[in-house]
Amino acid sequence: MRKPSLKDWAVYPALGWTALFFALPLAAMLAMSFAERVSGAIVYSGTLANYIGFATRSDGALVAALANSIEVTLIVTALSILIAYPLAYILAYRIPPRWQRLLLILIILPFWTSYVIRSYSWLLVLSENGVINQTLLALGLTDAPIGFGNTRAATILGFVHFFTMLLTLTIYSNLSQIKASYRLAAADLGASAAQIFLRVTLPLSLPGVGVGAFLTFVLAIGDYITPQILGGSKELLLPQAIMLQIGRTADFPMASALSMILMLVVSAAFLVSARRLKMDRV
Amino acid sequence: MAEPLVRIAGLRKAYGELTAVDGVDLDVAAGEFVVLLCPSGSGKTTILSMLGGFTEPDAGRIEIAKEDVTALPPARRPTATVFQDYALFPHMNVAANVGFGLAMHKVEKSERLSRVTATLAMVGLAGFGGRAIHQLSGGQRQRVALARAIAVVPKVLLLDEPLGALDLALRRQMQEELVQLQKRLGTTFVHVTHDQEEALSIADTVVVLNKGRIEDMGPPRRVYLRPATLFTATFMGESNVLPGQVAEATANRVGVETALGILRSEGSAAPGAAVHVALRPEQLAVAPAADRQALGRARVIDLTFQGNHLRCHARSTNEEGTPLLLRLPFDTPIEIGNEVAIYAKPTDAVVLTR
Amino acid sequence: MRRPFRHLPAVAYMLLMAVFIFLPVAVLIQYSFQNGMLPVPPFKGFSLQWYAKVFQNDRLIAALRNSVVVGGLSSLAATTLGFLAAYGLARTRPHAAAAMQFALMAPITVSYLIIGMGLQIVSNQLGFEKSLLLVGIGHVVINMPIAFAILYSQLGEHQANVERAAHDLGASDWQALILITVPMLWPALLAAFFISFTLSWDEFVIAFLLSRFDVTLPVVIWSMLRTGLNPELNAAGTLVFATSIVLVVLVELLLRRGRRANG
Repeated sequence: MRKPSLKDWAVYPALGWTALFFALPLAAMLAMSFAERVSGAIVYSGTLANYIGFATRSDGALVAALANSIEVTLIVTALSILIAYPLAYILAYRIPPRWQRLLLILIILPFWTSYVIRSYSWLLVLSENGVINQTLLALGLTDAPIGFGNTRAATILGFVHFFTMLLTLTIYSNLSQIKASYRLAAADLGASAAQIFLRVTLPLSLPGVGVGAFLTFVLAIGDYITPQILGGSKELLLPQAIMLQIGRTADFPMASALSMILMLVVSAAFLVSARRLKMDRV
Repeated sequence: MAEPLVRIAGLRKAYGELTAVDGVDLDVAAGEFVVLLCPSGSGKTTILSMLGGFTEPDAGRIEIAKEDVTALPPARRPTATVFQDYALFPHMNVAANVGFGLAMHKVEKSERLSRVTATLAMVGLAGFGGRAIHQLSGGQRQRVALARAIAVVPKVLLLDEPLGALDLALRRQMQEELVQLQKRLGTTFVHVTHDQEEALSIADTVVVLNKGRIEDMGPPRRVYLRPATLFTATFMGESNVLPGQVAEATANRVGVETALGILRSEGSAAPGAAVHVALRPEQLAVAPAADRQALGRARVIDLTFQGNHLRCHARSTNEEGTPLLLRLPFDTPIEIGNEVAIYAKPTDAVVLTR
Repeated sequence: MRRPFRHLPAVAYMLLMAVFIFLPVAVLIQYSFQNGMLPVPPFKGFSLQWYAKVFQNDRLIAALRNSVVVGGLSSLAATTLGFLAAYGLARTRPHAAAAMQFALMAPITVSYLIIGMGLQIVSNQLGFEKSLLLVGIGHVVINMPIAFAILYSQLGEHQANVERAAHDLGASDWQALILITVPMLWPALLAAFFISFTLSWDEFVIAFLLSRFDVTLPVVIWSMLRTGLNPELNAAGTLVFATSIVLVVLVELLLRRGRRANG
C-alpha cells in the first residue's frame, strides 16, 4: 500500500468548512425551529408551536407572505424568461459570432452593480420626480405623477431587470451550443422558419431555460433587498417576514421555522425542475 | 534468453465488472523493442500504466532489473513514459520541459543544459529549446515528449500510442525514427498501439493481447505468418479462415478436411478434432504452380483495383459456397462473374487449434 | 431577394432592451454628477461635489476598507479550499466522490439570508460577538462552491496526465503541485478569486446579520439609503459599480488567456 499523500486529504478542509459553517448552522436552525422562547431565553422543547403559529396566526400575515413570495417569484420567473429568450436568440443567431461575446458582456454589465445600488437606482427612476414620471408628464400621457414606489409592481420590475440579464446569459450559452447543422438539416428537409424554431431550436434550448429558471426562482425567493427597497412593507414577502422576526422581536425560533419553510419551497422547485430537465433529455 | 530486464508475473487489474488485464506474464530482454498490440480498450494501456506506476495492480508483480517495483511510485521507478496526449507542461518552454526530469533528479544546472541540448539534437529539434509549447506542430510536440522522457535515461521507455494523433505520412516517418533512436540508445522500449502495421514494422517482439490476456507473442514475421490463435490470424491482417476436422495426424504434420479439400500442413492436433485453417489473401492464387494444390473453383463476385494489387471477393462453387478473399497481382486478367480455379501452397496454411 | 427591413424587429428589440437594462445605471451615474440636492430630474448641471463628499465620509471609507479586507481574505480562503477540494476529488476519486461533490455544492442552493441567520444563531449560542470575521466565514461558505466548480472543471484527464508525467520524471506530490498544477491553473485560480471577491464585495444580507460596529460597504450604503434619496449614494454606487466592472474585465481577460494557453 502507498503512503497517503497530499491528494488523499486535500478534499477534507473544504468538507470540514462546509460541515462546520454550513451544515451545523442549518442543523442548529432546524433545532431552533422546534424551540420556544420562555421569558427571553430559548428552550429546546421540541414544540411545533412555530409551525402551527405560521399556519394559524389570526391575521394570516405569515401564510400570506409565503403566498406572496411564491406568486411574485413565479411571475418574475415567467416574465424574465419571456423577455430574455428573444434577446438571447437575437444575440446567438442574428449577431455575427465575433461580436456576440462582447455584446453579451455589455448587455449584462449592470448585472455587476451592487445589489443594494441596483434597487436604489430603480427607486430613482420610479420616483415621483423620476425619469419615467417626467417623461409621461412631458408626453401628456398622465396628468399627475404615478406612485410606482412601494408596490408589488416595483418589486417585480426590479427583479425582472436583474433576472433578464441572468437568463439571457444562461439561455444564450445554451443556444450558442446548438449546432447550426441541426437547423440547416431541418430547413433542408423542408421545415419553415417557425417549424425549425418550434421543433428544433426551442426543445434543444429548454435545458438552458430550465437551469436559468431554477436559479431565478432560488435567488428571487430568498432575496430581501429588492422587495424591501422597492416593494416597501405594505405587502411582505417571506424574507422580509423572516428579517422582521429577527430584527423587531428577536424571535429566532419563528424566523428559523420560516427559513425551513423557505428551504422546503426551494427544494420542491429543485425537484420539479430536475425532473423536467431529465424528461427533456430523453 | 539471458536474465530479462522486465519481468511481469500474474498481472491482473479489474475496473468493477470489467477485467482489463487478466493474468499477464511477460519477460522483456534488455534492449528489446516490444510492442503490445490489441484492439482499442483491451488492457494494453492498463499494462503500460502499471509498468509506469500510475495504476496499482490487483494482483501480480513487476520486476525491473531484478528489483520488485510493484509498490514503488512512478518517481522512483527506472521507467519514463511518453503519454498519448504528450502531457507537455504548457507553461514551460521546450528546454524546461526536457530538463524537468533532470531538475527533479537534482542534476546540476550546467550539465542539465548540455544534456538538454544533446537530447533535443537527438530527436531532431536542435535549436528549439526556447520555443513555447503552443508554437509547436503536433509532430514537434511528439518529439518533445520523447526527448523529455529519454532525457532522464530510463532503463525502460514506455510509449502509450505515441503516434496515434499524427497523420499517416508523419506516423510512418516517426516509426522509422523511433526504431533508429531505440537502436542508438539501446534502451528497452515498451510500445502500445492498436495499429497492426505499426506493430509489425517497429517491433522486435509483438505481444498480441485480447480481453486482457496474451494471445500470441513473438517476432513480427512469425506472428503474422504462423499466428498461434484464431484471434491473431484475423486481427493481424486479413485471413481466410476455414473450419475443418483433423483427418490425419503425424508427429508435426496434420491433414485437415475442409470445404475446399484436405490441406496438409505443419501442426499438431488429435485426429477428429475440430480446428480452423487460415490462409492469407495473398497466399491464394488463380494460377497453378508446382508446389500449389488445387482447391476447387470459385466465382468472382467483386473486384477492387488497389494500385499494386487486385482485391477479389469470390465464392467457392462447392456446396457450402465458401466465401474467399484473394489478393491477386494487379495485372491478373480477370472479370467479375468469371469462374476461376483456386490454388494454394498447403504449407502456407496455418492450422489453428484455438 | 433583399429585404431591407428584415433585421428591423431584432434591432428594435435590442434597442428596447438596452434602454430597459441600462436605464437605472444611466440614471444612477448621471445624477451622481448632479449639481443640487436631489438625484432626480431636472439635471441642474455637472458637479463632482458628491464624489468629494464620498471621499470625506469616514464611515464610507472605513466600510470600503472593511469590504476590501473581508473580500480579499475570504476569497483567498474560498479559492484555496475550493482548489484543494477540486484537486483531491479529481485526483483520488474516493468512493464517496459524488456525495462529497454534492455536499460541497449544497450551499449554492440555500439563500444567503438562511446561511447568514444560521451562522448568527450558532455564534449567539456560543457567545461570539458579531464581527467582520464572522462575515468573512459566511462569505467563504457561499463562495467556496463557486471556486470549487470553476477549478474542478479545469482538472480533466489531460491535466491528470500532465501531473503523471511530472511524477514519472521524479517530482514529489508537492513539487508537482507547485511546479505544474498551480502554474497551469493560474488563470482559473485568479478567476475564481476575483469572482469570489466580486460576490463578497456586493453581498449584503450576511454582512448585515453578522456585523455590528465595523461594517462593509453594502451595509453602510443600506443605512444611508434609509435616510432618503441622496446624490452621495449615487456617487458611492457609481464607484462600487466601476470597481465591479474592472474586476469583471480582469476575470474575462484571465479566462481568455487561460483558454489560449491551453488551446
